[in-house]
Amino acid sequence: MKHLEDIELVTLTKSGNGHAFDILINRYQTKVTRLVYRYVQDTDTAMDLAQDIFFKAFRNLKKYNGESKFSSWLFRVSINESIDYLRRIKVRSEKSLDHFRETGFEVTDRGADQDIAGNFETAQERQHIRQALEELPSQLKTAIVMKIYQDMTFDDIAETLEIPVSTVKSRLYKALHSLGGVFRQRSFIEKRGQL
Amino acid sequence: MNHLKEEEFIDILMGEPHEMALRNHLDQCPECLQQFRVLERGLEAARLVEPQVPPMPVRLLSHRRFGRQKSLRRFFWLAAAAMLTLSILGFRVEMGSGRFMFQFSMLGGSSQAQEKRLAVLEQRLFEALELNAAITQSQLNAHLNTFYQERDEELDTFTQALGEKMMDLELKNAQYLVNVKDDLSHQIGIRRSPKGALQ
Repeated sequence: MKHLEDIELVTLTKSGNGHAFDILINRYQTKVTRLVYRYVQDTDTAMDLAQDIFFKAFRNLKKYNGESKFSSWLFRVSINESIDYLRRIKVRSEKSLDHFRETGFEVTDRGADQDIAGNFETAQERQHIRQALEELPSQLKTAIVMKIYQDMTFDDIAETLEIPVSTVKSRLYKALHSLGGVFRQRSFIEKRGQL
Repeated sequence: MNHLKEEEFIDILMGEPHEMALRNHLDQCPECLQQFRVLERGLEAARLVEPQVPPMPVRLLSHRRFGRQKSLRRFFWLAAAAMLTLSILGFRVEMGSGRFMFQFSMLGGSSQAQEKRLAVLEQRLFEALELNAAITQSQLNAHLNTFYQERDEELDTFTQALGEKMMDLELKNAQYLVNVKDDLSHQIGIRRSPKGALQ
């Protein structure tokens, strides 16, 4: 049964074959957990949420009509659950610049020891960028997560979110423009301060 | 000059297939180039703070666990529905002195006893209504009597006061008339000549 396509496994699950759904879980568990982690940035929370996502998918499998890929439908559920989770706990209010000044940058940050073109040198700058990213509207942040972090194609993103490809690109444009503009403004202010 | 659209910027930035004319325009248009630089910095920034996903331990998930969760929920709702139904039926459990007693008060048991009980309750209800009506009428009569009494007393007081006022006004009026008559008489006396002839 492991060689079957997603849609065939879904059909089997709907007819009462629970083992077919176990295969789907094995197939997508890591991807879903990693995707959720991009939002919640905590291993235990990501694993708990992933379990809830698969339970929700199992319960609502009758709503999946096969018009889109199963993975797209599953990722959509995952993104919605992640965003809902963040809204519930209000992650932004629990963090503060002071906390990050004390603890420094997270060790999981890529490029912590790198200096990309000398533009992002201090941990404070990275924290500023991270904060700007977290303050983005969820739609724009999702565009960055799915395209830049998950490296999905624009077509897959469009199918997952059920929006046109042009809208995906437009959201990514706005997100990157916002991040780039924030940093540019801050650099300008810092340079003026140094003069 | 038509500047690049947002999607075209993204196509160039992310290496998506695009026409060479777009790239040429970017090289020749300072405004578009400036915007593109901002996007480049945004992309760099996003990649710099990309959360590194640590190795995730694989948690054993199975549809069986979901099935148990579903069963538990279904059991809960069935139990709640059963309790509600039983309470509507008047099911009652009494415990005491080491014994149990189950009782249905609406269904089952003797129907004659039920009717008798209902008849007694009906009679009691009518008596209560009559008593209530009687009490209400007597209270109403008492209220009305009090009201009439107060009205009469106030009317007497008002009539007396009115009479006194009128007498007072009459006296004043009479005094005024006397004064007027005196004045007139005085006037007439002045106009008469000393010999008594009118002028």
